[in-house]
Amino acid sequence: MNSPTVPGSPVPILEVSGVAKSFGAVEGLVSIHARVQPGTVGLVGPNGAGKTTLLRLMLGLIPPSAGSIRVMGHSSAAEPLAVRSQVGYMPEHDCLIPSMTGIGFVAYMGQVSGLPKETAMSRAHDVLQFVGLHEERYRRIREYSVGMRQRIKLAQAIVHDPPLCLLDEPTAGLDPKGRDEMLGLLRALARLGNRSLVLSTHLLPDVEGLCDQIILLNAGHLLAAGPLGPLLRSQADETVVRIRGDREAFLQALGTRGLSARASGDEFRLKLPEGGARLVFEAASATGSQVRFLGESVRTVEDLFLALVDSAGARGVA
Amino acid sequence: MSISAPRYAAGPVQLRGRLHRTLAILFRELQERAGAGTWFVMALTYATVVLTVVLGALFAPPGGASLSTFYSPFSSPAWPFLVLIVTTAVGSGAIADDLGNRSITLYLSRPIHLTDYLAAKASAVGVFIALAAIGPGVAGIVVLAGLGSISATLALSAIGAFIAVGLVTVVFFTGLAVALSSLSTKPLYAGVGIFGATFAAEISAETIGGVTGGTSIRYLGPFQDVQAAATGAFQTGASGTIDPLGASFLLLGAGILLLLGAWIRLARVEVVGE
Repeated sequence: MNSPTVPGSPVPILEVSGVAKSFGAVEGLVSIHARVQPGTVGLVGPNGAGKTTLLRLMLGLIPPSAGSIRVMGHSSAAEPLAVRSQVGYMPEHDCLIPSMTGIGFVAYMGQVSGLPKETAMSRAHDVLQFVGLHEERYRRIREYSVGMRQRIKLAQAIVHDPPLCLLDEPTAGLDPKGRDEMLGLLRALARLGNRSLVLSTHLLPDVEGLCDQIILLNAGHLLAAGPLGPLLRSQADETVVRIRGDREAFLQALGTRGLSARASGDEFRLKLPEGGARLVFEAASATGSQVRFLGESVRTVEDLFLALVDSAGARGVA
Repeated sequence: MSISAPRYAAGPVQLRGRLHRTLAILFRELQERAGAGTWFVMALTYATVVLTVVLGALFAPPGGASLSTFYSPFSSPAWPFLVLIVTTAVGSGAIADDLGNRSITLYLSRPIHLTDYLAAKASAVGVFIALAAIGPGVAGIVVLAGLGSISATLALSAIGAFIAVGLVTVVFFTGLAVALSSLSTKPLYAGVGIFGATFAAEISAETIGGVTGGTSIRYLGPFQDVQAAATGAFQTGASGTIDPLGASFLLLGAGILLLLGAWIRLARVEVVGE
């Protein structure tokens, strides 16, 4: 990601060059640059971050105000049909035809994607087996539960065997068991050769468990894009301290000992110099506090996101 | 639930082109709209028009049936009313259903253009309206020709006239149904709109035209336009207040504009939404 394409290397699933999109006075996306290699990608950000706008741009449903966007090597603006023939899209919202049977619906969507009728029916059986709806395939969709609806939305997205799946909040509305099952399905999908997934979500644990790359958006700005591991490690050289006692006094005591800490939830995060642990205990002793935990921070995507939002806010970017 | 990869019965398949995809939507829409209610109204339309045409020819005045004899369905209020019911039955949900259940997202995120989607939907609605607006008249003529009551030349002329008047009717009512269906997420509202718009225009044209004696206002009434087109096609010689050619072009133009309006409306729909 963010590196020039090497001859013979796989085509990036997404290349975004200076893409901006404004809706009147509102800026949906602001000068985004990213290059995403095949794999499982988390598209992450709070509501209003620009995830949906990016998905719409990727599908070629709206043109960018500036810049260019290529999906699977095709320009979304100039060749939207070429892009969409290689993409399976699973919307967040309900979008099913209630009067149809599960098998009829998935086969129909296969046909609309371009599959011959017999092949579409055959593949509909396969993907419904895959998502666990084989027994219910002849029931009307109006009789399906929320979990079954999510699964059939996934089935229609993969029926034509697209190399790239865009999944918009695939675990939305599911109970914990259903969520685990859906994530299991997505892991299985990701294991299939030559299939990439872009998972748009605001549920950060879903991304941690599934994705090897991440695109972080906030208020239309790109906070980070790249392989998840290095991004997490790059921000992980902090020490976490949890205390019991006067937090304000402890923070001041750390400051007087030359340690700059920041409060993050119920803990403090700081960069410790060599032998700095002794200073922490001194500060605790001086303020009558107890150190309950002192150790290297383990970054989560949520930590990364919050740190990047703070950093962007400090720079006045978002 | 099985967590295993789909094992497709067939290997990689070359996806077919836009025409295939558009036809898939068309055939599905035809299936969806071919309900018992639609066929009941259709049967009523055929019975009414075929009887009118056949009886009108069999009991034609001395000298036998001529082309103008077959104008009779257009002089009765039954035919336009039944065509309007068919239009409402098949057209009100054509797009409103997809907007209501938001399946339009799935169509437009697939490799088709909005124009393909609209063409498929409009074609399906148009097929049913054509079955009601053209089919019964043609069927009546075929029956008469089969009975040997009219000559082949007259039969062909009458069939041509039914097709000509039917086509302008189909274009207008298809445009009306698709446009109003694209404005609502509820087929019921679209249906009320189709009836309301048609009758409002018709009654306004009739009332204002009657009060003022003006002729141009009568072009506002779609049924009056159809009637005028029919007087021209069937050469009734009636000196109507509306020019048949002008009325035909008006119906065609309005139908096309309404379809364009539906396209503009759908282009503004946020397919991928929060």
